[in-house]
Amino acid sequence: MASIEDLAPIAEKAVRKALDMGADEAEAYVSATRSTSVVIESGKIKEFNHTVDAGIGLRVSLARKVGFAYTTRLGASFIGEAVARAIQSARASSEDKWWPGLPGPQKYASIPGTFSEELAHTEPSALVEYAREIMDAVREAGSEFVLAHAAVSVSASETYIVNTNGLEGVDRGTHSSIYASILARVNGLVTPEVFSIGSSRVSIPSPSPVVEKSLSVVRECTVKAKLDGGGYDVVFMPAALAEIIGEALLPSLTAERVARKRSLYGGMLGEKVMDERVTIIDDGALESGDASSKFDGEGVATKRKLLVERGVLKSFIADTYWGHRIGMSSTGNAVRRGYSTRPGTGYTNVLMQAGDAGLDELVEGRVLVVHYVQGAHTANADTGEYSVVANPAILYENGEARGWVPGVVLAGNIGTHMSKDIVAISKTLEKPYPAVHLPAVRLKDVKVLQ
Amino acid sequence: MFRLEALRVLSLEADVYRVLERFIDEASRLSGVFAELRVERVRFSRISIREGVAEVSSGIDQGIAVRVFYRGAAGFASVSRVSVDDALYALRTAYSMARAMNRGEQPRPVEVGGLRKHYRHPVKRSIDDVSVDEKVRDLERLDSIVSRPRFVKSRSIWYYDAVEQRYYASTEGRLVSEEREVSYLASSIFGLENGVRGSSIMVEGSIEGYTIWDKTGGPEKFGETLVSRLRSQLEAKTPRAGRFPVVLAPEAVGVFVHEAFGHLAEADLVASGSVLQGMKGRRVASPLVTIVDDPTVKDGFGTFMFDDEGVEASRVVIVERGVHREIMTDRLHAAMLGERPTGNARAESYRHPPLVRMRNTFMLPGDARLEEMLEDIDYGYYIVSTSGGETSPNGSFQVGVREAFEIVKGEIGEPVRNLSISGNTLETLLNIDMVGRDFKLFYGRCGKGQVVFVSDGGPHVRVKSMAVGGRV
Repeated sequence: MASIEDLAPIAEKAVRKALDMGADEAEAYVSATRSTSVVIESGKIKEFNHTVDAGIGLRVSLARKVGFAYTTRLGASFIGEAVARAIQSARASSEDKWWPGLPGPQKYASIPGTFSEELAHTEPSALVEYAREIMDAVREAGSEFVLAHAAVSVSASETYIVNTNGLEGVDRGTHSSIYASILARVNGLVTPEVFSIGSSRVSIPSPSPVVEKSLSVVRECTVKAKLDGGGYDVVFMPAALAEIIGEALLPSLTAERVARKRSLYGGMLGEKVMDERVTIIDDGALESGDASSKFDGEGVATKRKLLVERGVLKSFIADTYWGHRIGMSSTGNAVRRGYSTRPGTGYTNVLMQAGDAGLDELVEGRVLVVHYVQGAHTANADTGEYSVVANPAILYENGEARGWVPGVVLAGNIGTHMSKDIVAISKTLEKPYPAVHLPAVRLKDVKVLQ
Repeated sequence: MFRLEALRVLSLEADVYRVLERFIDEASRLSGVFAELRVERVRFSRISIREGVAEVSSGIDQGIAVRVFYRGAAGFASVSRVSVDDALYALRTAYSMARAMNRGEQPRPVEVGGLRKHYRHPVKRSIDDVSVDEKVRDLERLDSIVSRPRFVKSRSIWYYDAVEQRYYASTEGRLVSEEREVSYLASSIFGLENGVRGSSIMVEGSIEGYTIWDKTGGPEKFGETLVSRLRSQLEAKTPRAGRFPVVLAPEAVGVFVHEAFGHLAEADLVASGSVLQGMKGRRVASPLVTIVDDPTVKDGFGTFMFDDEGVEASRVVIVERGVHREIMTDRLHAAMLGERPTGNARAESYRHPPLVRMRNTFMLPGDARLEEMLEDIDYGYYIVSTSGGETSPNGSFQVGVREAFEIVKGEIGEPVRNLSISGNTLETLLNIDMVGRDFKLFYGRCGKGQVVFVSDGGPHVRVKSMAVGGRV
């Protein structure tokens, strides 16, 4: 794989060339990623994958018009062509009166726990061993369990950014994840497929806790239960909460949504917008964080931000452009999917503070415990409204799991829930998805339909 | 403006064939191996207009992917460069990964024999013949239409077009290639009036070049429809939750057929236990229902000659008059399940191995008229457009609804706000009691770990009873 040592001089030349060709400012973002994964399907190893991906993304501005081009062809003539296309693209773009310019020089701190030489050089055959461990763990759990899908993956990446305002940064990172999606067939009943994922920046996660987590939910689904009318509180377990807030709430805490008048919280800084037990943090510099890096997608140093503190709105996340649009500085939240996209606003590591309820308190009385939801992407970030299927919902009565209730539809408004409907927040945090650290939350007034 | 590039691509064609041929030579020397190479080159432009500010981007994305099957194991390697050396590096890597598994448990993929063929999809007006300035101007006209009403507070337009060149070579002596032009337009607006918030989105696409405005009736008409959809959102009331008769418009039928049903008929899901496992020849839908996945329709996002395993893409009749007939396969699952290879293997790009994916999935029209469907409904819902959906292998589905109306005493009534429809897919298909005589195809992108362009659609359809979950 081309290394940053090879790619950095190419990037530097590219930005100089852009200035020569008439750009006012230029930025080159180079990333090179090597990833290896083993994919399991229906209990068997399906594929062993290895990907080497390197390219360069060029952003230029010219009379407040911004253009972008990228290429995976890294020879000098192709880079020259990509620079020309970026400039051509800028000329075709609109003049943007809000364009704040590219960010200036930054100071970067290294973030512990985000790179492991050993993980970067993992032998591919080691992944096969982990994959076999997943398959064995499910087999040992019983013949009723089916390992529908699973994967073990490891990746190592290097990033280099340089711009004509004197910003320059190099970062490297490693990441690994294990994923297992399991269902059961018991006496003609097919349970929902339940997945869990474990991740780490420095080692391959242990398979057994990941498999056990999926199995524990699947086991609760091997008996069916029915709702008998009446009201139920709903406990959103961390994965379900992540899915709903990720789609319908977190977008409202971005400068872009505020600038575009689409946020539920525009103009409300300093106001109490959520229950006082709610504290939400975005931390791009979190030690060992799945989404931690020295700098963001436009080279701005990452940091920790309190977005909501005890229910009070403290800050939005912003990249340079959208921050400028609402009069704030970048919070280091420009994200991009590698070299092939322009930077846009996005979250890094999201944390919600734990509460004080034990899991037994969360399930007191009659509650539906929802582990995952189906259709979260159909929730509406403009309104906070969602209408999704709980998959699965487990009925609890007096602390006892009674079984899986199929086809439960949950509807509500996550903005309203976070301000008025919280009954309790668990005292433990989980990481249901990489880079998302959440408690379980018990809510009242969720519309439940079966 | 990218003409120079187009000429360069032609001259590079010869280089690509050299890579493909050299690959076949080298891979054929490995005994007991089935190996395949994909080379892809995508040259694209993206234009976004957010709150009136246009941003243009462009890219050339090219790379290779190699997959090797050896003793029941599969190794895949991809590199974001194209040369003989890179192809041979990927071959060695994929081969060593397959060997690292030290015998796997997979069957050998179905082989389909040698063939040499190149196909170029016809275009009406090439995207290369339209300047980026003209494309921006057209999109700005759309932006200007949707910016007029006071209640519109935020506007987004995304446009993408690309020339996709895909090449495939395998040790069975197959060397096929295909070129097509894709264009895609999506626009969304957000509105606020009297404290009520709402948003609407519309999508159009084509593989016949720069034809989206011909298909939509121009930026003005497209924009006016988008605005009227938003207006009805802002005027809409909360629906009742419960079970009601529902009439689905073609756009909603498309999403239902794709999301709630189609995924269940993908061979990998069938193999891992979707509700369609073991259902072949059995009734899964009302006799009025025929559902196909057809890569041969004119101007569909899933229209192509060869899939990403070099297999001829053919029509799959998933349901014929209510009876489940066929599933969609790739080479591996065809071997595993004893099915024919249907050409449903698709990859987002050379960075990914192909998966079993849908192409153009739709319900065939019947003979009912919309008025007939509505006339004996006392109270129900008319569902026009959706915000997508999701299915679980056990057949539980959810489709988010964006635009819907009440049906009151046989007439379409007032708009209702965001809601969802959900239930068990097969029960819902069995509950269909009328299928319309109209038909429309829609354009979108489907995510299954990887994102690919797909089309879906159908006629108007009536479902006797369906769970409608209102929002609060």
